[in-house]
Amino acid sequence: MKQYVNLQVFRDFRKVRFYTFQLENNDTSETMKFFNRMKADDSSVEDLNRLARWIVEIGENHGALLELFRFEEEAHALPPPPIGQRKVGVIHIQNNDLRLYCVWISESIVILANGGIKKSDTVQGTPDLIPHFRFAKAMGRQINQLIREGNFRFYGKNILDIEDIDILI
Amino acid sequence: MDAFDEILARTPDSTKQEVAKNVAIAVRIIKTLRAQGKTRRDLARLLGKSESEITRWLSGFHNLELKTIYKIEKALGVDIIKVCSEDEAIAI
Repeated sequence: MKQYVNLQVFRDFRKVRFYTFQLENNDTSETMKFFNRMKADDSSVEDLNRLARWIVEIGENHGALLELFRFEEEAHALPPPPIGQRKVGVIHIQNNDLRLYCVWISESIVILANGGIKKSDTVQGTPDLIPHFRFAKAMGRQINQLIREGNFRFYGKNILDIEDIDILI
Repeated sequence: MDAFDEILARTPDSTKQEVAKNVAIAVRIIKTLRAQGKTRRDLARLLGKSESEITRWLSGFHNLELKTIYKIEKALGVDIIKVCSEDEAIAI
């Protein structure tokens, strides 16, 4: 059975507003699930610290420049989008083996999803990570479609009419 | 305070400074590439590196060595980092 996914503000900084996905009837957003789970993992303390500071640093001082991110499909020859062109895709923040998937909307808007620790060369080799990767891909695909249809509009750091955006998983 | 805030609160100042500098250097290189109409692929070619390595360097997580920064400066023909003078030094 399909479930609605709501968009919510995760953190708002001077240059970037980070949003997150929250499944209907869930108390916790996907991104907070990630931080709750990873915070309890002693093996990734330093990486997680760096990841959180990275979010603050680009959010407050630099903006979400596309080149700071890496497309998951890049290894499969997906060409990076030309600079200045709006592009929505599934990307992840990469810091050693730690992955936080997200959907990049613009240099002012990034929607964070969930993630985990990649334990092999491919996502497929890390079963724990697959559902988060698939979720982010599904979100990216739907948002892409909504933008094309004119049902996902944004301006500056704002996603317009955010309550009216229907995303399903 | 949620988990994200708790992680930020436990992060040592040295990590904050490291991330701030690494991101600032990556952004400086990215903006130089943009200004010159170049891509990560062009930089990879100029340095004889793979594009995936350049992507890693420009993520803002990578701790670039000074000798690597010198090579990037030479390839792009601009200073990426500048050592401040005594007059410019700001206490941190």
